Amino acid sequence: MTEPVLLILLSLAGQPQHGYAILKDVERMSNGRVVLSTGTLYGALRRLLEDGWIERFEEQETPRGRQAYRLTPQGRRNLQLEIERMKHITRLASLRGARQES
Amino acid sequence: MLALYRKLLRLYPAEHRRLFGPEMLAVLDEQRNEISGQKTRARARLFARETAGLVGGALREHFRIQVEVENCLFLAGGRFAMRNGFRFPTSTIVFMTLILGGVLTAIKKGEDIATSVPHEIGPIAAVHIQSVHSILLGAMPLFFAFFYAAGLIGWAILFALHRSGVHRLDNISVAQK
Repeated sequence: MTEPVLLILLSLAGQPQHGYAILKDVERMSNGRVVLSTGTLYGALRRLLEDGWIERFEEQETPRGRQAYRLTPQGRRNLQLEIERMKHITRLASLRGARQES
Repeated sequence: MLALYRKLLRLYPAEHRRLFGPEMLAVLDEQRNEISGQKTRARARLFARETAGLVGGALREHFRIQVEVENCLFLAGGRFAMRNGFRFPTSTIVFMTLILGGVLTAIKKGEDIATSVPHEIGPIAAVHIQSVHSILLGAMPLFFAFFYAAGLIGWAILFALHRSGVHRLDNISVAQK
């Protein structure tokens, strides 16, 4: 899983978001390090939709009926697995790093 | 700026434009509005990023469709699903021609080397190489013509299936079926 995809999924983990909100959230979460273009964002969203990790729905509150995205149970499960994997790597890196220092 | 983005969106495959076109344009518009009061450098950076993103995204989408079509042609999942974006891969013909040219050139070079050192390999071997060469030269175009014809027939079948509307069956919901 690439970093932009992980950040997109994390952005949708809290609450459903529309395209522009995802862009801004990804930028904020990465402290401005990952700035997605619209083309890159929608390419990633399309792949995630096709894989069944996210789903699209029409926001009822907005007057224009804007499209928003949310995680599916499968997407949430995969995100959780990825987080667990990263935790394991971080733990391993801390242990190895500490051993080398001592 | 928005007019250019709209033009760049036309580079995307029709299906992607239909699904995401208006939404992408709305996001681009929101970004443009947000940055309108900022410095020229920030605006130029956004413009460059979005332009590159749209062109790159369009190329990736076309590539993705091409790969999907090739997977369909090889019946990857045992199920044949025709796509709207189907195009006969002309690049394959070009590559096949280039490979054929390369093989023929290699054979010619080999023959030149063989004839330039007749004493080492002897007259019988030279005759043998000559006959193999002529067989290969005669057979290669035949093989090429055969595979080209097979490809054309395959394409004609796919085209006929496409015209018959088989691919639209995927769009029908279970209830309709």
